[in-house]
Amino acid sequence: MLIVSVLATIYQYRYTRVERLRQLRVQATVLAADITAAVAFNDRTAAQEYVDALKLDPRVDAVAVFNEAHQRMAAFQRSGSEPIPDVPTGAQPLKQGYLLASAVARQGTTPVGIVYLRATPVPWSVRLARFSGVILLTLMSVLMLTLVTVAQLALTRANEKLHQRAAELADANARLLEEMEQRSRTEAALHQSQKMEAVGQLSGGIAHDFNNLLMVLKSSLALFGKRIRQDDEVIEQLAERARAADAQSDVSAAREVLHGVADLAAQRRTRQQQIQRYLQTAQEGLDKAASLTQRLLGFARRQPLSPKPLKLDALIRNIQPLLEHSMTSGVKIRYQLASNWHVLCDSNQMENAIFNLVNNASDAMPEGGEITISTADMRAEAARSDLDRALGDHVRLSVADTGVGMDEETRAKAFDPFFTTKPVGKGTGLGLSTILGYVMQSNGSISIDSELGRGTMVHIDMPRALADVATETA
Amino acid sequence: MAISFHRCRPAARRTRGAGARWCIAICMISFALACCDAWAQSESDIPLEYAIKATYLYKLAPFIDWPPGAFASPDAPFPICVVGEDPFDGFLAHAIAGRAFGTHPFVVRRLDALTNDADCRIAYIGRLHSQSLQDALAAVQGRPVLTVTDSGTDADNGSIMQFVIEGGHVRFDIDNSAAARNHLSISSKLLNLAAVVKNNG
Repeated sequence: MLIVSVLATIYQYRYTRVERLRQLRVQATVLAADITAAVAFNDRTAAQEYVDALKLDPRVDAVAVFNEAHQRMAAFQRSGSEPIPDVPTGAQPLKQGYLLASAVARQGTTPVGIVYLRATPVPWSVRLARFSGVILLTLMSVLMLTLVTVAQLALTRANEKLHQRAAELADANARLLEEMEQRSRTEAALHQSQKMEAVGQLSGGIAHDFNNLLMVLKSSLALFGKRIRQDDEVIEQLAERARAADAQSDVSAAREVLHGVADLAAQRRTRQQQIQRYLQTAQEGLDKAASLTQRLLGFARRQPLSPKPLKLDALIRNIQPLLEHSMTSGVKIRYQLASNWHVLCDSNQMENAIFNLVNNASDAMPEGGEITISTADMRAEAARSDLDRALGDHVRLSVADTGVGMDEETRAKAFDPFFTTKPVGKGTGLGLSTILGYVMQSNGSISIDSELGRGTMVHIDMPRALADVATETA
Repeated sequence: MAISFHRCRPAARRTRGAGARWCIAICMISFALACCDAWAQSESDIPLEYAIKATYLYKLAPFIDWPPGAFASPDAPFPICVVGEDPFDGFLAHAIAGRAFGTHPFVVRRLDALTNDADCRIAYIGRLHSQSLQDALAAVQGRPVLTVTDSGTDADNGSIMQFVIEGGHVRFDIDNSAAARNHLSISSKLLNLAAVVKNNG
């Protein structure tokens, strides 16, 4: 803007000068036109009258009229100014700022003379007034520039402050992230230690279970051994007394030995029963140990599934008698089977899962109660939650009890391996986690709905199998 | 700034006659400073007054509105006729040498009498011997001829222009109605300059 105002100043100066010169030329032309006759016919008086008229214009400094013969016809100049010379006869340089215009006096095409006009430069006051506009503009632009600069500085400072603040925030953020990382590390460590604890618990649990079983075995065998030794002792005694009686040929003593043998024989059945009991106990213990080992192995090895399309209703009805049989007294099972679709699943594992759930339900109701096993076909469109919809068409198997229920903490940990609320020796904590693994492998989902004191519902959702294959006959 | 200058020249005292001529001669000295080059180069010794009159004759040409048809062709000459006695003695011919009115070069013609077939644009009528002034003027009446008579002759003699000596200067009277009769229109600048402008008759 400064440049523009400077350019404007220069232009105006030049333009003014040009304009003034033009005006001067016009005046000269007019004078020349009027004065032709006077010049042609040497009428100096008339010519001077014309020339004198220009004295009225304060800007005109001097006028001179020459005829063809370069004689001065008429002229005037302001006091202090030089008269205008006839140019060809000696040109003097113009004083600074003065303007000189000339015009040929012509009548038609005939030149009769020449007219010169000289104008004063613009007085400084006038020039100043004219330029005041531009000066004002310049000042304003300078002012604006200053203001803008100041504003810019203020902005920069504010910007710096902002940057500082941002840096501080970034720092705080970094610290926060660090803390979070540390927290997660701590959590991981905690988790790890919890797992170790769980493992410890498991090992402890299993060890305890095995220990018990071994104790059972040990005591049975001990008793068995004791019994055998006892019998051996009696037989030894009798054998000795028989030898003595034989040596002494003591008939009464021999008769006592025979009585003793008869007694021993009479006790044989009870002895056999006792021994049977001991052996059975030992066997039971071994069986339990084997089954426990098997379950552990199954859990560890993640046995391959052999899924087949089957109807859950049919499967459940197949195992119904077994379920009823394994129930403690006071627990009733109710069936609400309403599924018609097939699902793809491994029948053994499904049976095991149901057994497990029913066991858990029954354990949750020590004073008796009711277990409800229900199935239902769930359509994807009618699903109420996004989770259900994502599953597509599926069959829901639910096992509900009216037992003690679970609190939030327990429910959250229910599927954790080796987590159990049952007393030590009764539960391994592997049941639900095994079911979870199996259900996941079968592309299904499992969920627990439970409230302390209200009971528990476990839902297994298995995706619908569309292949129409004949149901598996159990 | 346009200057419109219409002046009415007051009628000044006209001096005619021999005594005035002497006075004129004195007053013209100031003129003689950087004199007309034509006059300076004159070969004959004519009075300054007639030198000036001679120059006026051709200088009048641009101030007249010549009607169309006044010139036969664009490069036809502009004849200045000197009728009767010639007071210029070749000075006029010298003065017009090389000059032209636009495309019409000036030529001088010497005539003893003015006839109606005389080809003149400007006719300076001097002392006539074979014709009366009236006859001379009548001969060219209605034709585009500027008739000029000398000072010293009667005023209102019917010519369009008449030289007069006034205040030591050669000036002229103009008869505008006579000009109109010859279908000539005279520039107002000239009229302004004239000593007397007659419009009647």
